[in-house]
Amino acid sequence: MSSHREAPSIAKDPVADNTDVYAFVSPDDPSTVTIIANFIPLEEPGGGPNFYEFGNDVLYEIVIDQTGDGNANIIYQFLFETEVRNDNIFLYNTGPISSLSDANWNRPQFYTVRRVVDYSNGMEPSVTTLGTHVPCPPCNIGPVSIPNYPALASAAIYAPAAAPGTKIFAGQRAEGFYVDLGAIFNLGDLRPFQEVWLGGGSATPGVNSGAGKNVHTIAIQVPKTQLLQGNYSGSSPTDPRSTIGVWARSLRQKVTLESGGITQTVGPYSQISRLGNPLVNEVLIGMGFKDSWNSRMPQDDSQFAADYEHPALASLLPTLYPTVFPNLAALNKSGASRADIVAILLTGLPAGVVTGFQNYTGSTQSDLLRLNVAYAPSSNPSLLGLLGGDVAGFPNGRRVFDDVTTIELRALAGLTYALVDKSYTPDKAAGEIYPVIDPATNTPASLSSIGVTYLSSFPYLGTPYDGFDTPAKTTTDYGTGS
Amino acid sequence: MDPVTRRTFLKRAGVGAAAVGVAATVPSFLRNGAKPSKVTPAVPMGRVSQEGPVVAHISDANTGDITLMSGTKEVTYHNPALARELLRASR
Repeated sequence: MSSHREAPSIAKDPVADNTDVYAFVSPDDPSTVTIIANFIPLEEPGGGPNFYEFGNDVLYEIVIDQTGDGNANIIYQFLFETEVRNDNIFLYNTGPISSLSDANWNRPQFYTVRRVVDYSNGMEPSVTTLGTHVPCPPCNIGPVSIPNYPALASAAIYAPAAAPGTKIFAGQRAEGFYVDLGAIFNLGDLRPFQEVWLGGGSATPGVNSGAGKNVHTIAIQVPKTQLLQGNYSGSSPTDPRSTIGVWARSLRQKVTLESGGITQTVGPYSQISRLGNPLVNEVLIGMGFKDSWNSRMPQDDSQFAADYEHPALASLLPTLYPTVFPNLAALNKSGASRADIVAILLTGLPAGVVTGFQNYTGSTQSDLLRLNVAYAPSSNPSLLGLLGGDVAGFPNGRRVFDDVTTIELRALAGLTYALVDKSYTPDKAAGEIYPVIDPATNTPASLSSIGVTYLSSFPYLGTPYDGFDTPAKTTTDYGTGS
Repeated sequence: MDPVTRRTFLKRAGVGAAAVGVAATVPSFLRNGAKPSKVTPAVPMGRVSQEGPVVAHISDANTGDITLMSGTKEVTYHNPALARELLRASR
């Protein structure tokens, strides 16, 4: 949801709406990297009888840039197809679904996946089909319809023979991103900090808007050697080959013809959604340019650099919180370019900015989720990632539990400007604000208090909320921070 | 070269990429030196497919440019007389 409904056009096309992208060294298999791309924002678990599924007319792609030029070197492509086993019944399932081939499942979905690899030495790229007619798990309808959802989801993890060591999953998962949408878009009215907010009020716990919601996930786990230039192992953090740039996107054919209940598509595919770093198109790019941003390749992103250099949210914070951001107000007034934000989001951090860390990919400005795979997974991860001294977390890639909203909010509030200007003193509030839950006193496990749970193994995002129980619960059952 | 449409991607991927042809199946933006493009073709373009609909879009009535789309392919055809005739017929 870090990019959910973030642009006018894609907000009307949820099956193609790329909501979150994650990339991290797999904690339970550090020789591999896991990349996750989520689509379909804010799924209501009980939303039947036509439950959520990937768009059969959408091309989904996970893209890897090995060289830092903002262009693609490796692409994993996914196309989906749906079968209807009984045209004469309205139900998604006609009895319990106990296996992926269960005849009671009336509307199963399948996918074809292929890997497209470019060779930078001038050879023609190659295409490898990794799987055809690979089953997705069903949506989590309820405990009677699906008695053992985790077993079904595990059975849907696909290991292609054509790519040894790779795992692939495509299907429904619990939303893993947490944010207080109602507060943020109500003029930045962060509930725990209302006492200093422009509109006043009393401090109350943050609310996780994603609690009780599901998404549709495409996840891959790939050996590092299959992602890095020249099959490098990624052993040295100072070797430029250790850092990859990741983004995901969706594409539709140019023309859709609707007639008599039959839909046909024709023409070349056009990109309609893309996502690298979280929240960029959501809160940095101006309303008039969001659809354009979604249609462009990362290599074109220098045209949007002004939105990173002078972020609107940074200029709004001293107005919304008039007493706690005096230094940020002065920084804004000076007209200084936010080189810290540009580095974090558009080029990566060069060596020397943060002691012992780098994920710089060169001078090309491109919005990529940059992951230096040489940093080992943390055994004691901080929700604040690099801000919390944890080099395995955002903005070094992004783990499922990283509190990216707080990290970016604090960065925009000036906390990271001191990295590029040692004379700048960040406001105390820049190191304290958060929307939902205090990341300094919580861990990935304690996020269960706001309705977020994860798996310890692939695909890491939790079992989807089931449609029978979840609407029956109230928001007091989960979703409130502390 | 065989036409490569979404349908054939799904249907034939199982018999191997060789049947499709590498050059035709590669997104153009993967190629070295490709210029940035607002609309980036992501799936291979073959010759005009005989499967499914063919759409003619008069992209510029003044110059007579007609964009023909079939499968995942798009070609621009220049024929001012035909463009005028199609416009007349559409009214």
